[in-house]
Amino acid sequence: MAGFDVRLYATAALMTLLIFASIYSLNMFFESQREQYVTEQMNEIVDDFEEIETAYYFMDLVAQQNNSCDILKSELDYLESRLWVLDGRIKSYRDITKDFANDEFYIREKKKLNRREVIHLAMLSKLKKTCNYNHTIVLYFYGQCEQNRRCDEQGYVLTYINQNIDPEISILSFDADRNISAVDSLIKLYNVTEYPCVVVEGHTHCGLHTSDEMMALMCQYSPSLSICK
Amino acid sequence: MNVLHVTLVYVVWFLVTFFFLVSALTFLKHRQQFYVIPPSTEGTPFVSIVVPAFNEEAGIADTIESLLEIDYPKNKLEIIVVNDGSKDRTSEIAGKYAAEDKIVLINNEKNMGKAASLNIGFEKARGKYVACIDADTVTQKDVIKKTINYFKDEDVAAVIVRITVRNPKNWLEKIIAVEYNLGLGFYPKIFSSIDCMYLTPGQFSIYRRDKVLAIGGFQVGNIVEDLEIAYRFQKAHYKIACCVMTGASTKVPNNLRDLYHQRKRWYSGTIQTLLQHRDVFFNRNLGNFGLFFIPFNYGTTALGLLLFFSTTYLFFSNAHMVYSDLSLINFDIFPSIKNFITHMALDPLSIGMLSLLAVTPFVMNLMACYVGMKMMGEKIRKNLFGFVAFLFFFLPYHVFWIIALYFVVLKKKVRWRASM
Repeated sequence: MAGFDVRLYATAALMTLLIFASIYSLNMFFESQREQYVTEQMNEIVDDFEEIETAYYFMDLVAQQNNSCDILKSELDYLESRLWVLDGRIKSYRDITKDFANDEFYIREKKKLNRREVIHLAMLSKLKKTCNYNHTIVLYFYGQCEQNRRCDEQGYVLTYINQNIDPEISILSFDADRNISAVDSLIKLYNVTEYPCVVVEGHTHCGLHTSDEMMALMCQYSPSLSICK
Repeated sequence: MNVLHVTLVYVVWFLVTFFFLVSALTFLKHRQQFYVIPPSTEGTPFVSIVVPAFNEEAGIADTIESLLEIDYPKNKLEIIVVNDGSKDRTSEIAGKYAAEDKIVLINNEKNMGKAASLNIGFEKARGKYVACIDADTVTQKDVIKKTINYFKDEDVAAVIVRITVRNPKNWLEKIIAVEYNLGLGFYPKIFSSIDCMYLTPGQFSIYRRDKVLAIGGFQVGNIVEDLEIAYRFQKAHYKIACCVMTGASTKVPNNLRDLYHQRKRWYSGTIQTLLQHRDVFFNRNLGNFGLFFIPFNYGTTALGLLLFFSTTYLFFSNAHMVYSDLSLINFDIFPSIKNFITHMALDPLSIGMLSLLAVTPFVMNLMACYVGMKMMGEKIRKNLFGFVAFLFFFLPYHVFWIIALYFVVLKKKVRWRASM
């Protein structure tokens, strides 16, 4: 038999395993950092929400003051932009770590995010009534996205619309798969029968909508939007 | 598909990393001998040089001239040109040298193929050692003196030398110049030190005549006869030595069409030869060659091709999704681009496991190429383009492998060159 250098191959195999272990450890570190980032961002948002919730409960009390609506409006705008960014970050982390979709941490943070969106909706609606705030609210319900790519497609269209007319509208998205009682109530309230489904100013339209169709719907229910002129 | 793709990424990563580390450790262990030439004990034995030529009017004169300038006693050197039924002026050009008794010219009445021409040259050769050179290749003057001493080891059946690209000018030649420096110089030197040489390059190699004849000469009809004979050397437990202190320069394809035909021939021939000599896989009697080099090298190539398929599928699948998304917004991509640029943030946390696994082989290859070029005495900045482009040239090579596989599976005839 010709030469076979067992020691050479054993050393190379050991080094291969060591490199793999290093990469795996680095990935675990990144993963923990990703979770830490999401947790920190979520905690900050929860803090901000608690602050604005306090203001919300005092809204009736401070309604007489002229600047209270402006303060709340700017706060809500700020929080909405942060929710939007955090939602995007959670989605991109889900894509990096495929197991994230079934990960307890991911599910927990998604639930938290959805609850914040519900609170945000409640405050926004109150703001519209109390302060006569001319603002269009679009609710977006999605579910079973692993099998239903139309959810991602609708999300893409709504992101595009949000980029174009951000200050005039609020798009709030709700994950129907998370068993959140408030979201389930909204689903019943707006008679959401399939996913994706959008509710524009209280009017339900299920199925996938292109950007043109979405803008037509928004102009139908909010003719004062700048894109409708 | 995703599960298959991820599995392939892991498996190919392990194979590539292991193969790289074996190469790196072998190099480190034998680097002191990298430039060492065995001391002279052979004296000046008679050496024959066989030049098979088919339609080589463009280069045959340069080849013969370079052989005539070889620094070796003229009475111990013969040059045999085997004109393999050329339809151009090859016979006429070589004939002039033959008329002056500078070479021996053999004219095949009809084209018989390179392997048959080499065998004819070997039969005619008087030398104990016979060098074979392509008719578009020129040698360094010391090519015989520096290789002949390797034969003092009686097990050495062939000595290969460093093959470089002759006057690389255009972009493709510059990329191939880097490839040759590594693939026909640096790596053969490493693998020869653990008896894993799988090739005696047709451009120039020198053989021990009796060992070639003992295994039946070159295999007629094989389109990669220089690879096939190396497998039979391995099976006969003969050694193939490598000398990087001398070499030969050859013409290489300077356009994609010629490259396509060359690689189709090389890779189809490799697959056919592997099928013919499939008993080398995991052959304990062949030691490093049978248990490591062949299974790992070609296993990685085969799984790499599957990974290439799955990556290509996923790429087009994602491209289709992007197209589908864009169609929903009337392809108005500028707001998205503007938003992306506005919110662009370098997020190191966005690096996932697969990206980390993909980066390491690339870094390892970069390191190997850098060290290889340095060891071959090449200045990277003189051919920076070729160096960088070579790192990405595995993509078209995968396509050539797939085409070669297609030709072999469908038993299509592969021509020697595009213009035949």
